[in-house]
Amino acid sequence: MRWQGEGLLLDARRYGETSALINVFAISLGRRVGLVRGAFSKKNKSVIQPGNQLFLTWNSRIEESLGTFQVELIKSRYHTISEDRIGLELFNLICVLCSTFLPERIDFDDLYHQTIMCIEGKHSIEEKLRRYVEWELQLLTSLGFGLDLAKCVVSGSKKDLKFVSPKSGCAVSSKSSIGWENKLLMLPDFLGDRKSPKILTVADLENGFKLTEYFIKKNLNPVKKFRKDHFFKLRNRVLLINKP
Amino acid sequence: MLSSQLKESQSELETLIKIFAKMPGLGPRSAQRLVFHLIKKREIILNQLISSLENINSKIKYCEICGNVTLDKVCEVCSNKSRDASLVCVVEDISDLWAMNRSGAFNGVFHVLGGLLTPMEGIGPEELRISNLTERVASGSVKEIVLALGATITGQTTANYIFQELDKYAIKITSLAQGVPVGGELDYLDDSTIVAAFNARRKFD
Repeated sequence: MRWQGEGLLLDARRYGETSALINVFAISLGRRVGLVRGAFSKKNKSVIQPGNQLFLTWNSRIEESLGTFQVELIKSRYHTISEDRIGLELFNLICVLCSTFLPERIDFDDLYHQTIMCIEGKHSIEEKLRRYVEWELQLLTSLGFGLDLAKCVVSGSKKDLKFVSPKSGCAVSSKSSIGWENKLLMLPDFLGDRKSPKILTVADLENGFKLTEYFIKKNLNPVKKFRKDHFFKLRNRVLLINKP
Repeated sequence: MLSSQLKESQSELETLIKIFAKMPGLGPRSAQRLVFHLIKKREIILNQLISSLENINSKIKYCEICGNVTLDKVCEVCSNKSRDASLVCVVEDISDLWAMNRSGAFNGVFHVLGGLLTPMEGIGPEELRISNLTERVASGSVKEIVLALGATITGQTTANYIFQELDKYAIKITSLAQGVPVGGELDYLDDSTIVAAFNARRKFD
């Protein structure tokens, strides 16, 4: 068996002296794991860095086995990721979420493209955090737990959407939420009817983080060992960098 | 009787070979060569090795201050009065400490973290000696922290975390430069190294 394609390196774990088990998120092939021989040799060390865009050739005798990768560097992202503190933190979170929740060998192309959008480009801290919240929403959608934030689940109105129902994952307008505000989750402005507001507030970003955290905890099942509390503690530290 | 004795000695040897094969750089075949060599040179090497391993096992401890290996409570580096104790170099592992010390470029003291933050493997700050470092800084004896961690995503993640933890103290926090290695030819360097080298360029004088 053999396939070729392009992918983003999520993780490389040492296997033996010089080889590595790599975890990649590939276009139209989804998340794949395989062995790279000589990955930690002097020549390949800089190629096998998380965040790098790689051209992958996978070989295996049978489809079900682990298989070996041959990798070629397309784009190095180490300097762009590592130089930006918040970008680095968000990139780590994306890698953990991808490797923890995405099942192997199923394509998630929308999520792949959103991942690239999220880690590339120079943006303000607020914009990066907004993109990250949108990325988590896409993760939920890709795994079949998307939120319906386009209209109010009670009235059908597309205006004044302020809350999200924790039960259905649908938006609720402020008019329909009267008396239920304490039981609903806050919908940040940038996800509601006023998309792309000029100013992203800290409170809005915090509400975005709380919203996706709630639905990730509620709906997603990890495919490997996952220290949930530890992860969300690290994740929510990112917001502290943004606080004045 | 004879065959049971032979089997027993063979299984003992196999156990030893398996232990040696777990060492970095050794596989089952090279482990087997080592074991047979030790048996052959029993008087010269094996006995010395046994006493040396026993000594290490009973005497070696971790330095209470920096985490280096030592025979006393405090290691040679930390107890050396000629070193500048207000300058602390943070390294990932003891091998990094030895490498830095060997270079002779640094006359301060060290702090060994014992690993790097690796969110992918669930290794958090609690598993590392970061709280000990914070305590050292909080004691007020430190003026500068040099973050000498690897040029990897995990190395930078750890450096970021330490920076966030220590930012509230009035100390200087620096990190090692990144760029062209000695003997490095530019056309063989990867993009990230070239960008890092450009960003860290300095006045030529």
